[in-house]
Amino acid sequence: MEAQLAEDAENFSRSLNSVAERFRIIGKIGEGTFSTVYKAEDLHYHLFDNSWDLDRTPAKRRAESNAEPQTAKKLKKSQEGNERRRKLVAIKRIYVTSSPQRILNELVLLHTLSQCKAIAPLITAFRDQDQVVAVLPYCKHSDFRSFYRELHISEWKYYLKSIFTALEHVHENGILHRDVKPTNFLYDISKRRGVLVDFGLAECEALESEHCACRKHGDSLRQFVDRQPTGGYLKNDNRPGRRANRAGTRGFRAPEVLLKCLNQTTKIDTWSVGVIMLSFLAKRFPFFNSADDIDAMIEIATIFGKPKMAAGAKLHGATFDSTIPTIPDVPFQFEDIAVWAITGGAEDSDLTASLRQTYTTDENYTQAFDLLRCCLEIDFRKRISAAEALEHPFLVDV
Amino acid sequence: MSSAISRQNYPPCFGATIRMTADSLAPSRRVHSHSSLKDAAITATASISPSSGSHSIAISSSRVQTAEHDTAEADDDEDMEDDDGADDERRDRLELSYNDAHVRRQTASVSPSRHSVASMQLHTQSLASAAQSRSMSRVSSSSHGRSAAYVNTASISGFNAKARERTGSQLHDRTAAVARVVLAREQRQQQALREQQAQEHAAAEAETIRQWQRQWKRVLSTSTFYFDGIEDPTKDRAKRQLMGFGSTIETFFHGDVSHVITNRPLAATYPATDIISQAKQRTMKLWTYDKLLRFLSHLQETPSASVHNAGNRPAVVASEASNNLTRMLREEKITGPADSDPRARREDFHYFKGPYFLIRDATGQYRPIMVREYQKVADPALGDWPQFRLSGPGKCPFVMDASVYKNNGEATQPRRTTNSGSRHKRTVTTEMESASTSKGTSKARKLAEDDEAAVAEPDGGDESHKIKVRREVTRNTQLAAFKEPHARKKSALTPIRMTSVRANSGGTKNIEYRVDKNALAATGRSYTARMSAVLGHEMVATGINMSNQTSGIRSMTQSGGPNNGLASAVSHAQSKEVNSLKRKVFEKKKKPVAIPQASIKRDLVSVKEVKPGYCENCKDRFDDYDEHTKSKRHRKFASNDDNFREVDELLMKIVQPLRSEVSFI
Repeated sequence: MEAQLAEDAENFSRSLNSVAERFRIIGKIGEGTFSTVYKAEDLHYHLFDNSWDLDRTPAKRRAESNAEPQTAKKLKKSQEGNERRRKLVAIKRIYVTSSPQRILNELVLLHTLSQCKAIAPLITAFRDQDQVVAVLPYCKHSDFRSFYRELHISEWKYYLKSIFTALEHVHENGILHRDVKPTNFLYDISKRRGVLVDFGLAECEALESEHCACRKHGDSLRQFVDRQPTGGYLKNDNRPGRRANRAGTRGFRAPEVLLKCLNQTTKIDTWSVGVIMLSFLAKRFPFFNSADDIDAMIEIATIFGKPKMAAGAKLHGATFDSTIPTIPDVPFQFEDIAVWAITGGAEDSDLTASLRQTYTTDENYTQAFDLLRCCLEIDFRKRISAAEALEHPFLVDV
Repeated sequence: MSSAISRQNYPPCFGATIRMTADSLAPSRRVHSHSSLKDAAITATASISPSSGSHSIAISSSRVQTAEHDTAEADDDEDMEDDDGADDERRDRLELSYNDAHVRRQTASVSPSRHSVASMQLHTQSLASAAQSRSMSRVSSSSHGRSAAYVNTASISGFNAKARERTGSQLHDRTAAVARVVLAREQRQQQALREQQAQEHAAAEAETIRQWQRQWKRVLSTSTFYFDGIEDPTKDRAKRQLMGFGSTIETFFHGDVSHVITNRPLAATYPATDIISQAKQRTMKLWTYDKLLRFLSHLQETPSASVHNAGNRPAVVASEASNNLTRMLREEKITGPADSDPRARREDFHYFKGPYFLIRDATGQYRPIMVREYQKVADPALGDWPQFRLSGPGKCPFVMDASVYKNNGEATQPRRTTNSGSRHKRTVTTEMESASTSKGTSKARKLAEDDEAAVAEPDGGDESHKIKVRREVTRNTQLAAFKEPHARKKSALTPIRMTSVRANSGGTKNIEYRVDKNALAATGRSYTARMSAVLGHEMVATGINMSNQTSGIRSMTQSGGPNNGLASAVSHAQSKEVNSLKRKVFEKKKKPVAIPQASIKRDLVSVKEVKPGYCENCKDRFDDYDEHTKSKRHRKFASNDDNFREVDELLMKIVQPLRSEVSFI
């Protein structure tokens, strides 16, 4: 594996001359939907304007501004006193099978959003024929799995604050990230700061509202007397299928995405953050796990129950019908789910009792569960927005 | 200067900036409405028309391809890693590529042409100057006059110098403006594509109406009508119309009458000699007079071929009538003839036998959004569908996690408490809970133990668990085919047997497996078995996250068709193409590992992984990414700089400035 990584990195370096000159590839961080990301060292850091770098200390900044144009060597010498950390970057190598439009889309979005602290800024980018490479800062972060159960609620508040801040900015620009999940939010516990990455699936909000029942506030359904038989399906159904953008990761997709609403809004990202919150509170990750959209819908239905699902479906011009016995008629309370999940179903333990006690009396928790409910709201119109979430009692003082 | 630019100074709301300035612009330059953008383009340059001409051609060609990929609709998501998967998540590229095909092809079909770039430049200028006028109030700048020149700057360094004179925020404004334009264009393309599809759909429906009319006219020419006591003054006109179609009107009832028109209630019982009873007995058509009138009006209308006709044309009434007819015909296709008994069994309809999940499009225009049926089980906890399951800390609560499978009667799903604000009686929920209480689960476990034939013994000393397996087919068809297996904790070299029930054969099939506990736990035990049922051949898991494979394959089978609705245990691939595709995907993904005794551990696999997918530029699928990118066809695209014109323009703006060029204040 090691050899393979090294070879891959070397091939990459060779293919893109500009990259090889300036960056030393250290290794592969991961493979995304549309790109591969490498960790690298920026060897020419000192030659460039680095206003993107949040870690620059004031001393360094002063040093940079006072100095005359110098070669890298001289600068390094003058900074001998300071701890000289190598500058790490993430190099995103976009798959050449992506169309120029898609490449343009991502680069433009990244660049538009660059000025937000909670979004990984685009440092620079290169093209060599069909290979486009974007350079972003390497964000030191901790693996979500390693801390989501350990952090106290007063700590993981910062996580939410940070991610909502990022999303607020994204949404202000009329952009949907579409793929919000822990692996796309690189959080540094020590700095209490995270960075939203991977805009490969992001897209702008629809300029004109699309035709979905939700746009007409669900009233238009009155004109359709639903005389379709239920309890089965047509064997030879020649009707077309509903089509809408379904990008994203299944466990984090909002109900309207699963229902193929044509009119998806920035609220789909808020739902995803709600799912992350659920992981924090129930101490389970991933909370949802489904092989396809239908399973994902059933999982959601298992929590919300038939009436809410039916209402949610109706909002988007769909009917909901199920005889699955584990889909309840009454929704589960998230507190109950959390208790069950944390105690492993042990009903009579002391832990159970104390958890219930905490959830009803500790302000942190009551506020947290309330915010959770606001995020995991099936009706996107009622769902809280990123900006509103920052004003929610749970986060407002953070 | 750059160091003094703090992020707070940047106009916080880009969207607002553009929208507000757009409002203040003359209407012809607004970005938002479709047509006015075009107007702006026309005033700015005449070159947009050729590109939009080619635009629509490109769209129709992309449509052909879209239809082809109908069943291969996939998404570019990924499945979550199981606990031990330390690496970052990988997405199934094949899935991704199909999603590209589905979602993005509209945009890919219109390649960046000179026309569009030119128009974009001009648009950007108009937007940029608008944006500038706003940002000028915040940041002083002397370079307003140079906005027109920026895209045409010859040298990069010269450009950079000019760029640096302006503030960073203005640069962002312009780039953001570019973003809006490009993305707006994509949106319009998608919109146009949808509209075109709608148009075609409407045209198809119009044709259906015409067909219906033709068929009925033919029938009418040989029909005989009897009017049973209709007093309505319009009946003479109705009769005349019918005769105009060739029907005969009988003044006396007799056995060869084909249609009886009556206003008497049909549900009432009549003596056997009564006309209505006779008509029923002889299976004559029994219509109310209203129905006849409606029928006649439908026959005489001209179907409209356009989607947006209602209310826009002079012949509103006629259009509405034919719209109604369209809808009625459509509904009839689905619900059956309106005068038929809705409770009667229909041949063309599959009725669910087990628990099902059904989300339909309420308008009836589209096929069901989600359809799935599961096998009936006595104990819901054994059901194959996603539900809360006993699971360990940190694990997904919907996946059975055997490592905590104790015998203490833990609740397999959350218990409700009234404390938490639930206002409903507990009796409602206890019904559900009893299904999954300890009683239920221990009973199920007992059954498993009874049926157990061979169980791998746990190793002494370490914490491994058995994989319980059922050798025989469930005797009682009510029980689920699969028991939750207890996974062996060690990785994977132990052979295990698993049975699967094939719906068609009804027999058992033993499949040799090597599974990794984590993979099993992560995917849910039924997936592997399901996949083997679907694929019909041996499936080897290699300890690599299997959910990737299953998702890739399953999502392809999940488009709205009826066959996808069934759980895999009773389902089979619906089309040959999809089936072969699935096999292809499966084989391609794990190329060297199709052999059972291939190395299980990941680091032993030294063969290069083959990466199939779809190339948006060549608009073609490929089996190997590396090979395809070296191919002549792709290289031809790649080496043509024109294809990347817009990308280059953007790159010019975002290239990182050298330190020396930044002026410090």
